[in-house]
Amino acid sequence: MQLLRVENLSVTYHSSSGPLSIVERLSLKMDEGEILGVIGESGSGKSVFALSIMGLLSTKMVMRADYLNLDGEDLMKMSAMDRAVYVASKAAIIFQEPQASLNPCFTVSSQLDETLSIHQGGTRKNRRVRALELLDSVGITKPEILLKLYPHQLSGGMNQRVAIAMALACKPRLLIADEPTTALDVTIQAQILELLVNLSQSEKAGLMLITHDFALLSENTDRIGVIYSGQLMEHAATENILNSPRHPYTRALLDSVPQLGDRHVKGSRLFALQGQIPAMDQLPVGCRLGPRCPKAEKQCVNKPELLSVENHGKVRCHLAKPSPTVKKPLEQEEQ
Amino acid sequence: MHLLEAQNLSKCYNLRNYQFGKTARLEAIKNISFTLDAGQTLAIVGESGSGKSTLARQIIGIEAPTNGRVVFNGEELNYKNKKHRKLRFKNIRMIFQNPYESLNPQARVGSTLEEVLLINTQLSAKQRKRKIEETLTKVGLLPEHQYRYPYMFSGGQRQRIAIARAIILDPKIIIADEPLSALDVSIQAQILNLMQELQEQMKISYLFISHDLNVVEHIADNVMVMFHGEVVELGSIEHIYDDPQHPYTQALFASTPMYRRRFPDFAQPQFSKRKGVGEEGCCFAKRCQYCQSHCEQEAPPLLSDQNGHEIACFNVNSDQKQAS
Repeated sequence: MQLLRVENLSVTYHSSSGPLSIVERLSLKMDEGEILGVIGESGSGKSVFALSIMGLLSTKMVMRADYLNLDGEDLMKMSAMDRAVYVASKAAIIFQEPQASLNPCFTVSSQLDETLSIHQGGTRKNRRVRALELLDSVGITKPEILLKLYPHQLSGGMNQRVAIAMALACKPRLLIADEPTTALDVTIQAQILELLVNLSQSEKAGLMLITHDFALLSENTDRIGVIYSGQLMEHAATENILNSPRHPYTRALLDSVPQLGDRHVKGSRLFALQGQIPAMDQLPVGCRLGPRCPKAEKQCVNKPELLSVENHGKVRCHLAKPSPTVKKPLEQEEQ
Repeated sequence: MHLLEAQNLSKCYNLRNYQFGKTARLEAIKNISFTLDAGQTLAIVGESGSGKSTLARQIIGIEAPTNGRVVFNGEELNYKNKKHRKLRFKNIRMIFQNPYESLNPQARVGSTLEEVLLINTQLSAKQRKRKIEETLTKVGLLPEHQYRYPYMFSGGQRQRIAIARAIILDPKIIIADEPLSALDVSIQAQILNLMQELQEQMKISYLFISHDLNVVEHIADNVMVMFHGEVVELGSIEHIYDDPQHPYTQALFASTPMYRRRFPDFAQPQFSKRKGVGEEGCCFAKRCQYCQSHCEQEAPPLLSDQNGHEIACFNVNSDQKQAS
């Protein structure tokens, strides 16, 4: 069953010098139990996209979408209050830095209890039992002791587990993990990732993994969306993306990470994209990757569309040959 | 003769007020020995808190080690000797992790770079300016960038400035403390390429501190794996990446997605416990699945096999003895 359907979601930031489009007409779909990877550099708008689904954007940002369907209801048709309540019961988000996403002034028990009393209610005793269950499900061995501790007494990995337990309190259908392992140690990273994947499998919930590390996505995800500068550049099944990426940006991202067994040889260099991601108020004409793209041609000064490519997925590039039969633009040019 | 040699380096910190006014001694690094040759890269791998940065601080001379010696070009470097300090600051330079914090936001790039020359050389103003321009071009920036402030640059460019500051004195050794982890993936490749280019041009040796196993495999000649202030495995890149022996090294590979496929048999560590302050035994005992009773009482020595692959583990070392 379809869990999430986003059509043409745009986020505009009203800065002092005028409106800036941070996410531009992004369309995605997720099924139940699916794990979707979203990858992009910092500043590409991947976190803003996650926040806009959760309705956590700052007041200076405005979201518009043709359709934002979460578990059978269209969020765009709801009032702001209804929407907040509905999203909170259906979706949860885990942030990058566990130390920063927990309140340092309160114990783990009071923070978990607050979430539980909002979502579940019931007596204090029942809530405590549920809190212990939750902590147990995220792999904490002695939850009774942990409940009395403050976040600063716990390690980063433990804090992230608590944050995940809090996210699970509302039994979410959609779990968004925004760089959940970036702030953690290598050995802990693997454990947290495995935990997230197992939880989403056992609960049949959708998991959206947002990251900048292809290695993390390569094992677990079903599909991957590549975001650059607020646009979806490529969206396809994981094997297709990893084995035969059609977009030069995806290719570059994959090539700029040293390959397995790639030892130090004199004169050997990694492939590196030149330059950096453009600022949102200084976007290039045409394709946004244009000035950095190693394969750029004359036609790249025209805006490429996100088109379907046969046996692959969707690609936004003039050079990826779209199949002639399905040549149907998925987005209309803005009038 | 080796370019740099560390012999039995140890550093103890006295913790006052450790638990309710009790004092304790924390051994941040313990008996670390290694050598580094000209033009080579030694990578130091380990999780946070394993003493990688403390080791770097002892080598560069910010702190005096409690025990042990740092030998540079055959000469022991004394922490208090002024002449040795000057020699050290000229030849051993450092690149820090976060270029957003390691550059002075109030100083123009030119004056940040000039300060290094003012302190360490007797160049005239004109020569200094020429040197700054040369160095900026070397790291892929433009000479006119010296008049700008750090906030005008992106993360990758700032890391280039930090590298320029490190190479401006033509040092022999650069200590790079996680130079890539604050940068974006596509920028990481640029900086890594630049570092390799400089190494080949200027014959610099790197002490490359990182926790990214991919990057280490790409750049390093030798690898030293640290855990809890001790060296658990030390060897050439072939030793460590083709035949990792110590349980911790194996656990590191098992928890990195790309390497899990190469080493499917290695187990991930189940716990994240560590040895407490002042406890005896092997540093990895509490997490190790092969842990036996004597591992908790006695620390295994770092022993070398015939090929110079050093491992600190009772199980591995006794197996090898039996085999030979």
